Amino acid sequence: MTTAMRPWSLFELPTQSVIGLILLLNGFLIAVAAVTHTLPNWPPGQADIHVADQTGTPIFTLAGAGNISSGGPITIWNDVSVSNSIFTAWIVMALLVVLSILATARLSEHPGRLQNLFELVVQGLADFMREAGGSGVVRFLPLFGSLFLFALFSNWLSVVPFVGQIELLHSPTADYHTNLGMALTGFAWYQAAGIRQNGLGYFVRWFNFTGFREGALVGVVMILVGIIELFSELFRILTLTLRLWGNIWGGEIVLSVLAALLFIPSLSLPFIGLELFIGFIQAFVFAFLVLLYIILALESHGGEEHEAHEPEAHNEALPMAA
Amino acid sequence: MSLAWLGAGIAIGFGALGAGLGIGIAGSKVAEATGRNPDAANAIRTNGIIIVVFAESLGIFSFVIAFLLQGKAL
Repeated sequence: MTTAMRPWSLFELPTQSVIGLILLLNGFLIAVAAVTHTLPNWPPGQADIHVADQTGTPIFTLAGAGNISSGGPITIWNDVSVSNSIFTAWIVMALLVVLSILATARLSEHPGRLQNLFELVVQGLADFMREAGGSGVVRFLPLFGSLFLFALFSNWLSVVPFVGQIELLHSPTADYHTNLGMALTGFAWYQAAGIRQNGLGYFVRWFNFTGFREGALVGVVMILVGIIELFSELFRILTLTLRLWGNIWGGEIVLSVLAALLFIPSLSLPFIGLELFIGFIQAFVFAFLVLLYIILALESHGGEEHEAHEPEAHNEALPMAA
Repeated sequence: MSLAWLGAGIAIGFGALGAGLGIGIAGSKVAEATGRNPDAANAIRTNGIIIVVFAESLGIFSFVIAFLLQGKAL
């Protein structure tokens, strides 16, 4: 067996010895726990499972300390503070910013490794956007890419050991405030893009009186459809927030519960792979839904007399989003 | 108070049932479509993920509701 000099040479080890190493580590942990009499009760009671917090906890309070109201299952912090999820979000931001600066500091015609990777990512995202919504939406690449990369790094941070388990670190997307902020950013952005593109005609999708030309019944139905559309706009914020948060927070809980229930610590290792996959899919879905809402906001809607025929980016048939 | 636990169980059970049925139907259709037209596999996969995610988010809602109810019972 070769000794693992570098981290990536671990992948060159034969699978059997890796599994053997993991089992050996488990046996060692259980033996240590048995000797020191800290073996958890079997079956574990609820108190033995450390469940991840729904939201961050303040680590540094600026004002209004102790102004905390616990209303039912959700604790509301009415103070101005820096929570551990904000601190971890700063770490993610610093990581992304430093990597970007390093990659773009010395741009060259013959790119190095880091620049190659970044070109691959940016080009891939731009190609995906062009495929989904025509070349007209590629100008939203900064928003799309930022949301995707931030959510991706935050999601993947949630399975890193100690994140979510110690006081200082809490994955940003496992705190619904971060997701609400991201969802509101996307919401404001696509509304602004739609209004800029369509002018007053943008509001036709909610207040559509053109149906009255074809009779009172059609007109009333059109108005009701507009009201449903208006409410679906509000539900978009809710679903964007809860989808990402529920997946990541639920994933953390699944990991900790499995680690406690299965008794052997690293038997939850396959689920870490699942969580990595889910984290990627959810970050992708979050960014893609914002992109989809932008595409839907950009296309002209209803009343023909409101708009001249603009050169519109060809939109493929995409599922209407809830 | 223990009725809240019952409610949590019912919430996650029925929520997972509905989401599972929806994801299963969508997934089978995606597999069928890919088999019928392998050239369009990429577009079908992207749309399939998006559709599945809508069904899944309802299951996630029921999970959140169940967890909040369980916290209420404590």
